[in-house]
Amino acid sequence: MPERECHFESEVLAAVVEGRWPRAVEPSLREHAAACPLCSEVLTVASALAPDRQELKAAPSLPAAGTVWWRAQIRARREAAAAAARPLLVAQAAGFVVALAILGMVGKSLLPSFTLLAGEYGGWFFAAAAAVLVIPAAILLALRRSE
Amino acid sequence: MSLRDTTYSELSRATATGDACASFAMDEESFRTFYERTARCVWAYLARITGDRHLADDLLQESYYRFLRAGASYESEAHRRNSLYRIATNLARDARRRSAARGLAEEGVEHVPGGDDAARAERVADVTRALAQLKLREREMLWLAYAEGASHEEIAATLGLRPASLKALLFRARRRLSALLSPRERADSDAGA
Repeated sequence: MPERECHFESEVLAAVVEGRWPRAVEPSLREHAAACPLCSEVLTVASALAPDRQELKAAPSLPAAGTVWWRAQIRARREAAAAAARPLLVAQAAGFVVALAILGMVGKSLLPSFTLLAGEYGGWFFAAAAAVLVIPAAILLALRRSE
Repeated sequence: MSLRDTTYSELSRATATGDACASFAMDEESFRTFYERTARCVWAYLARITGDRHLADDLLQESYYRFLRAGASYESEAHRRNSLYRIATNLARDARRRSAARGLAEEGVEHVPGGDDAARAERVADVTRALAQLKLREREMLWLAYAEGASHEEIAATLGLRPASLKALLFRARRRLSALLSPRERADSDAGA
């Protein structure tokens, strides 16, 4: 199994990352890095990536800290409001179902001929009731999602 | 909804009224200090591992938002920083999975060095080309180790790896990148020495 670590690796890496390589390091370390295959790899990779990082750090114009902070605040508030509204929506849907059931029971008790009528017009009645209840609920949901 | 969806009028209204007061574990002043210290490094990391500077812009803001929302307490500045890098790494991986699912190719970071330094531009292009041939995890490890100078423990914590397996993975990734870079970099370092 090949050797995977050299004791001087961290010294070579620190010198490159801190911008001391090659002028501000001991000649002995330079000589070692030239002879040691592991340190040579470290040198190759770090010499490519460390200056690249410095250039990238200088390149972009990032949003200001204050902007990121306030955007995060507003987003957190929106998400909290949406989370709080979710149970309310479920309760509203459940309310619709219960109201429909009560309406059915009341109608049945008030109209002796309900069974007869339901048999004849039941399909139309439920289709109309579904249209009246479900369509507005769907529109409401769509509006809330788009907010 | 992303942070970019927030309009400037919303921002200025919230700032003026002071009514945007979500409870984050960090106060604004501490956040500003932390952001100033870390944002450019995190952006550079994201730009290099994703190969897309526009994506890096989005992921940067999302990283800080998730970091704030996490509301965790940190024992040290290094721990806090590692946590931010971990969030950024996970977001980059998610973005990569999404773009792979959509069949999008990586662009490569096309940052152009200022001035007339053609050699520098060529070196940047070489690094971009070499990194593009590595796996995402290899790029993450190598950047943290050899650009950021992070310790093995920090890298393992950031990437969710065991420190014992990190050494071997890092060794292999370094060998690959070194082989991809070697002709030019060796010539450069010899000239520098």
